[in-house]
Amino acid sequence: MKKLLLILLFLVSLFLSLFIFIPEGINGDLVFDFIIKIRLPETISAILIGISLSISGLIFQTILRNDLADPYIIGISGGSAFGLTLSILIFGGMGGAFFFRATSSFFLGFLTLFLIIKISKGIPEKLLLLGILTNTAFAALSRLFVLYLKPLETATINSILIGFITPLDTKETIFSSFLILLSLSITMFYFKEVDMLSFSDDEAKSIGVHIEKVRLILVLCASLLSATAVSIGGMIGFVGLIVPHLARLFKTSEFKKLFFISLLLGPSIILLAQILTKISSFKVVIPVGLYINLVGIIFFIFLFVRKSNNGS
Amino acid sequence: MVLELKKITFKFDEREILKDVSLSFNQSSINAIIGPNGSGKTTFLRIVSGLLLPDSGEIVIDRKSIREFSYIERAKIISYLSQFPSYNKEETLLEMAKKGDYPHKRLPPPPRPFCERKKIAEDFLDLKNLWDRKLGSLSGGEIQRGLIARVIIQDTPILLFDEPTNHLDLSYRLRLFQLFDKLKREGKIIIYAIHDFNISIRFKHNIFILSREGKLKQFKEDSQLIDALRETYGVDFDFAKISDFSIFYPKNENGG
Repeated sequence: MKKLLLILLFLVSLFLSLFIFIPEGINGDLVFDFIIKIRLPETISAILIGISLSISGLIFQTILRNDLADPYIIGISGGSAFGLTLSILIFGGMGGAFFFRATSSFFLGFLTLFLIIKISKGIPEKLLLLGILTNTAFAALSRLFVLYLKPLETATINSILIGFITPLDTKETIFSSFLILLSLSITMFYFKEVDMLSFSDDEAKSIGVHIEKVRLILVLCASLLSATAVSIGGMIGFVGLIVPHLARLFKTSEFKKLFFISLLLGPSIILLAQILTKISSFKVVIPVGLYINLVGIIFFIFLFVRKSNNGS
Repeated sequence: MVLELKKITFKFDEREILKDVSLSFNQSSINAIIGPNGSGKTTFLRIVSGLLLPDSGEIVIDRKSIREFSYIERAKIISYLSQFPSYNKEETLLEMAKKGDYPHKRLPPPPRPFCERKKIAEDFLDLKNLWDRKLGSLSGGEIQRGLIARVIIQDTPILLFDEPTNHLDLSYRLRLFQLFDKLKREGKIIIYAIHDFNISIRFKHNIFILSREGKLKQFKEDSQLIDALRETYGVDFDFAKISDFSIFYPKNENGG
């Protein structure tokens, strides 16, 4: 029943995203062209972003044993976005081929995360604070670079910082789908081991789980996912935070179940937010990141207050 | 199966927690490790379990060094209950305890059928009504019983417990020790750290004292034990003989 509901939600948002709010003046054969050439790529981008952000968030929350974690909040998105900015500085325009954008955003994202985890020593409060500081610092740096760039590049960097879903061409779609599928399959391979992470490291090891290895591999997967998402849509925050929490409302704590629920919920949420941008404006394009950040911050405060009230 | 410690030395911050410790634990034995706070009982158990490598020396199981086992192979031979358990509050007790079956799924064959192992834990630890409860809704003692059940389900020939009686009331302490007796009859080696040694003496477990100097020694005679206790804790003890066992208690209220 619940599964059906999730699939229905996804299909409805998929349908709306493709067919609703076709601009006036487009009719007849043009409608078909419009849907295939404009809406479909947008929708695919949104789905890819939704999947990668929510699974990345789920992995970070589980591995870091911190349910406020999310690729945006812990600063990895900031690192990745800065990687993109560098790529734009070096290659100009949109920042070179998607491959370079993704690679540069992966390495900077992972490097950032590595440093943040090292410095915070895994203490939850420090981790979150450092993550937010990192995001601010990287955003400031990127804005500084903007001053030296041409208007087109400035616009690109701005949309990266706000979160804006860009349609991909066929090659880019295949490449990013490949990265996402790769990370998802590796993650699926470790379903059982991830559930062992609820034990202390000593106990997990004594049950036979090579916990450092599992943790490293999964953090790499999550970083790759979030870098891919940032390369497509910039810094869209909080999806990785919200989706795993909504998934937990389905009364499960098993990683495998949370994974598949998030896989359906994540894209639905991005698609719905994307549709919202179309309701509010036919002429001005509002970046999807704005909506998601607003809702996300409220959600974050709610979780934070609840957490403090629980005294944990 | 024999578990041998060969010249184990381990230093932490220049202090020798274990100093040239050589011992062997035989099949069908229950061994209690006692010692003052901070003497290194946990460190000792972690070294024996292979989680921590000693600075020098070797842990040998049936003539094979523990370093040669893979994670899974080791998990099929040694299980370990930490003193500082961590668990997911949203999980049910059964979901958590079931994780002890992990190494047997990865590397068959399992020691005995899962339902049999579950039944042993259920009978001795009185878990019938707790299996489906979420850990977040249970008391400390109930969770501790669940954590012990995880080790029972792992069903290894060597079992290590760090203060297994934590949070358990007297009746469950007795049931736990009855469970130990059953495991002993099956040929297992059990080593556990404990503070309340009288109950270990009552059950005629082997008593080992880990001293601040990093020595680990077994004490069999009451008179030897009383000297060792004085040395270890700086407290004068006396003992009362009751049928075939003794109870140890501090001589004076001020310890002197």
